[in-house]
Amino acid sequence: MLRNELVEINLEELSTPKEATDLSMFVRTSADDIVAWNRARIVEALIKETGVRKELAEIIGLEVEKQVKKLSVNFITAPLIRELVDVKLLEYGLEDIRKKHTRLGVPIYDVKQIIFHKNKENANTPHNPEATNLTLSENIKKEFALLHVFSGPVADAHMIGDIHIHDLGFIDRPYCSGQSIEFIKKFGLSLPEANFIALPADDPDNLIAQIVKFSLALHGNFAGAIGWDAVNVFLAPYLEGFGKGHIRKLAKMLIEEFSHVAVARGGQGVFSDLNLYYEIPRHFEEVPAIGRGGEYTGKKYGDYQKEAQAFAEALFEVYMDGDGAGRPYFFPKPLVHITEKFFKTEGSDRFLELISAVAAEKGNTYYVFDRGETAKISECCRLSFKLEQSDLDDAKQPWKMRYSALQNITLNLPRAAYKAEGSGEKLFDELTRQMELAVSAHIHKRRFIEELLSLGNDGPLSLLAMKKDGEPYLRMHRVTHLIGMLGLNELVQFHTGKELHESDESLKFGMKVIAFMRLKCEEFSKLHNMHFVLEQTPAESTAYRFAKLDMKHFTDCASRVMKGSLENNNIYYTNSTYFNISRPMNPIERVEKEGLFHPLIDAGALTHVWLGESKPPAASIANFVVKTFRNTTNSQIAFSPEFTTCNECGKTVRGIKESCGYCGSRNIECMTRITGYFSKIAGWNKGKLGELADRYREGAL
Amino acid sequence: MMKVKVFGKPGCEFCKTTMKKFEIFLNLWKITDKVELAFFDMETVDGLAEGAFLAVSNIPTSIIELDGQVLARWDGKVPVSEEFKPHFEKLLSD
Repeated sequence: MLRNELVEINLEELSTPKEATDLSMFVRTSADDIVAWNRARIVEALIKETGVRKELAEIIGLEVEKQVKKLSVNFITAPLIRELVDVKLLEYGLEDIRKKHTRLGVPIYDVKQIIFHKNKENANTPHNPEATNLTLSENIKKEFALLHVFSGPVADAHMIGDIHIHDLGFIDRPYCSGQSIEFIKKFGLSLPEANFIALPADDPDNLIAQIVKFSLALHGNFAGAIGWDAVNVFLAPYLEGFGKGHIRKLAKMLIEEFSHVAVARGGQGVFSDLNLYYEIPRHFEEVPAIGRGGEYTGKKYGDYQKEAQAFAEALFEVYMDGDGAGRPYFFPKPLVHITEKFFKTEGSDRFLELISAVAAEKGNTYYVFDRGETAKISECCRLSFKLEQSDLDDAKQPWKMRYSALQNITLNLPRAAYKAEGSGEKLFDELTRQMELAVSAHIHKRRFIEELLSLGNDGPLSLLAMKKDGEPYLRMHRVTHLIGMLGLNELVQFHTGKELHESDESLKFGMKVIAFMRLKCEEFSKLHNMHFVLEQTPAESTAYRFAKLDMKHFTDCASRVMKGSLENNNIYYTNSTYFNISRPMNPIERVEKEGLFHPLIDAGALTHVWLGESKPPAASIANFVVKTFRNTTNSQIAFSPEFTTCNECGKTVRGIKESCGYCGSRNIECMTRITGYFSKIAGWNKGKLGELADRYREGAL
Repeated sequence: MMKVKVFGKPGCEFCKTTMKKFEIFLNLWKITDKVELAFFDMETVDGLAEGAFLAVSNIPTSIIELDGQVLARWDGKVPVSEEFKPHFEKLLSD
């Protein structure tokens, strides 16, 4: 039937009384009620929710009523009526109105899958009722984001896999945050919506409790990592006069309180990062120190080096012991900043040996290289906030140092190469198009977050809108917008015929792609007055998602460069700017060559050294770290061993095993680092399992 | 073929000075036909990519190469002629 004919018929029928109905039907409503059929409800909902003209709403209502009459049922649900209305809107070609009117939800089959089976989207999410609540709500918010927050072209680009918008299920939160504990020390815990107020801590136990509680509060307001800067430096004034044993007890308390969060709450653990310095960073040396009760101690942080060092050492002694089963603590992650001043600080040799022993034994240590005048706060899998001069000025009042990345968008680089079909010009045009979509997505998300923040104390982001120091907690003028990349290796392989490690020409071409993206970021930053920066996307699920989509839509092209096992579908693209993960390569060569990309990637980059079962001597790792700092441009490295823990006898051994070496039980758990954090392998997606099977483990350094 | 690669930005006076300095001395030593002098603008894709490949993190950076092998480099400073002259000695004596 033609649309015009339909409208004519309906206009005639509209003369019947609007409220009347001869249907003896009842509706199960979404408000848990059963009410008599009333066509006017459809009309009212259409007008209220979509702003459609009354006449049109009445036509739709009438049409739906006619359809319902034919069903011969006594009960009908409100969601089904809504679906019928939506179908009618589609018939009328009213797609925009349908989008506004549609109902978001999850099919019963999917709900059952979610309740019964573990979510493998994120290995940091456990499987329990609280966690499935999270997954279900994420599903609805994700649909809402794609329909309501992002434009059609951006949502479509995500759906078809040209780009990936991360954490869509957390659309109403920024991505990650980095800050200092000075905010808690100065203001205590007085948060909007909280039913109690805690004054600034008067002892270190109390302060540690407040840090963990505030991290939890932040975790509820950010999608990802919560990073803390120079934790040992800022805790130091509370430790004056304490013996080694007492400091170690406090260090253990800090680590275990963070580790227990997931167990206690049941939901996702807090992805937490502790930035640590063995020296007092230059920008904090002369800053007046805040001590117990939020009062200035009369000293400067430069005066607390001894206490700061003692706490850092104590933390690593605890990391060395591991948890109750001798496994590495998964969180909080310790990130040690290696600087020129580090090497000039007395005792740094001994400390480097200690943290390298932990790296060899448990793998916890992340080495963050701040060369020259560079200073940054690191967190998440590799995200970092590079401090600018204005930030270093803020360091005089360190509670102001609050940074956030609002969102992360990853580009599907191999697909750009497939579409270009060997043409360099087409390739860079496609990369430009992908980046423009990413920029649009950032603008949309920023607008949405700003709308939520504008509600202030009455809004859902009241914690981020609170102004304890005159500025909102979330300082929008300092947020960054991340643009990540996935599968540079496969882009280069498809376009040049060789992988990144196979020739200088292919490596140079990879650099040209990343240089292009970086300069585009600068261009878009100026154009939109927003701060776009490149980040090596961790891509825990995206590497698999893009791979699957490309195998479906670009089968011939993708199968030529795809990594993993095509037979069992454990496929993946190589993460970000990494070299082929299975390629046997001298570790220092890998660190050096992958590190060539790092200066182009301002918001964080990391090279993994996969250890597997091997355990290099601490001195070798320390030596490796010094060489990396002195001779490469690599931003961050981590050493990753593998472990198996027996759930029967509780023993932990090195390596990934099929059964316990002590009691023979097959009731075991294997764990190692996934993209940038330790997790249990049982929770990994198929793509990451494919990658794990391919990883080339370093036998020796 | 010897190459001198100077990495910089158009608005950087030290970079211009570095480039000028190599031009003057290569001319003075009459080896311009034996040495390729090139400026890499770090604000362009090609310049930035080449700089990244050679781990350039400060400007100006000057690199002397022979058949793709790095003979000498000066990072973040203007080299003095006494420092780079020895690398051209063989050409000067030819």
